[in-house]
Amino acid sequence: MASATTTYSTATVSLPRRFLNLIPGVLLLAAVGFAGKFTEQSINAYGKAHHLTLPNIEYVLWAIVFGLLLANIFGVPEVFRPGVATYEFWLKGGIVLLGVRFLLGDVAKLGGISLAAVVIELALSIAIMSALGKWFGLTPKLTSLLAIGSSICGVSAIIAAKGAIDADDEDASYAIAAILAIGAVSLFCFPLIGHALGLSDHAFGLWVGLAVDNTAEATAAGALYSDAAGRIAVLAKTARNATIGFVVLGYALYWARKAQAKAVANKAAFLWQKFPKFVLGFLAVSILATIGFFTKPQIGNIANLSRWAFLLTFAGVGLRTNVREMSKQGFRPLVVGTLGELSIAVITLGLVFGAGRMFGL
Amino acid sequence: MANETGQHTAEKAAKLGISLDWLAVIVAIVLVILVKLDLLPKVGW
Repeated sequence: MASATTTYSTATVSLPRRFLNLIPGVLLLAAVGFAGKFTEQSINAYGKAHHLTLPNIEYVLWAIVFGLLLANIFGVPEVFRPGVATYEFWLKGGIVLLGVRFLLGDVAKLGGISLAAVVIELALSIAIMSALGKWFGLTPKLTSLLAIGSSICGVSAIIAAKGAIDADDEDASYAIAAILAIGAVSLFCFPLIGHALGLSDHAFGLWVGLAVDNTAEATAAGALYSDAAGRIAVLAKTARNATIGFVVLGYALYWARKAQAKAVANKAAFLWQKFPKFVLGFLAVSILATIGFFTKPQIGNIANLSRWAFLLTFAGVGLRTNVREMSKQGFRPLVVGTLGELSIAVITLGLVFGAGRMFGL
Repeated sequence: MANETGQHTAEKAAKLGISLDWLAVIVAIVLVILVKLDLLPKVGW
């Protein structure tokens, strides 16, 4: 991991050189992602040719598993790391492009339901995390980071909050490791639970978007269930991400009042700085699709571009998951995070059932 | 170790994160324009 951190030290490297440094890793993402897609297609073709009913395992799972195996058996060599780190860029680009598959009315309806559920989830998860943190003797700021990470959007929220509440580097590191470990497990567990409960695509997508912390994992878990569930998961998660600024601001004001963080001089500027800008891109593309700016084949092309971007993301999710490093991190933050996440999963499932009854999801 | 990792990851990702959002939006919008103008070949899946 220490070597991974040095990879990011690119301040003295020229721009063209930095761009070239990305190429090997991006090619690795493409190779792993394509291997996943090829495996799915090959198994399906084999089943058809031999008249066998084989389980349809989505390319998403293959891409993640291949990435996980590569990273944890052989390790990701230094030369690939800058490019692998771009998986988040592909994720955000993919979300913007996915806007083409949503009419603004759907965005308003599902986004509104998600936001209402996020507010309830937020209040409950912060209360649960705070109680668990106290019970397990975690530092108050580590508890704050875990609460922010689990209620809003995982690593991005923790990073955004770390500076705002003047948290220790070690606390941020523990919180990130705990959220990543839980996210990796959630990715595989949620689809199994969803199938066991017989959730509809809409209900499952909404549940995953509300309960799985990292956007990449939420997108992957949704896509593992079905294409429609993947789209709804992205929409619900995007609505959740949009609240990041408000929550971080709330925590910043709380810790500033306790004289343990810098005061926030300009709240509007703070909110804008923390706001995930790709949400605006997603809305812009959705508006264009709604007003009929694109023809049907063009919508298909843009949606497929989004799929390719997600393919690279899913490969990155596997490649950046280092099981050994995660196991080295603190035990107690992981326990608190896991208990908190379990509670949040149950609460959000209840919210999804409630929303299903009210809005017929 | 955890300390060092957290510091580097959080700081660098925070710095990258701000520009990354806009970069993703710009690249996606450019692709959308190229598709709209039929300047991209058909994208299959």
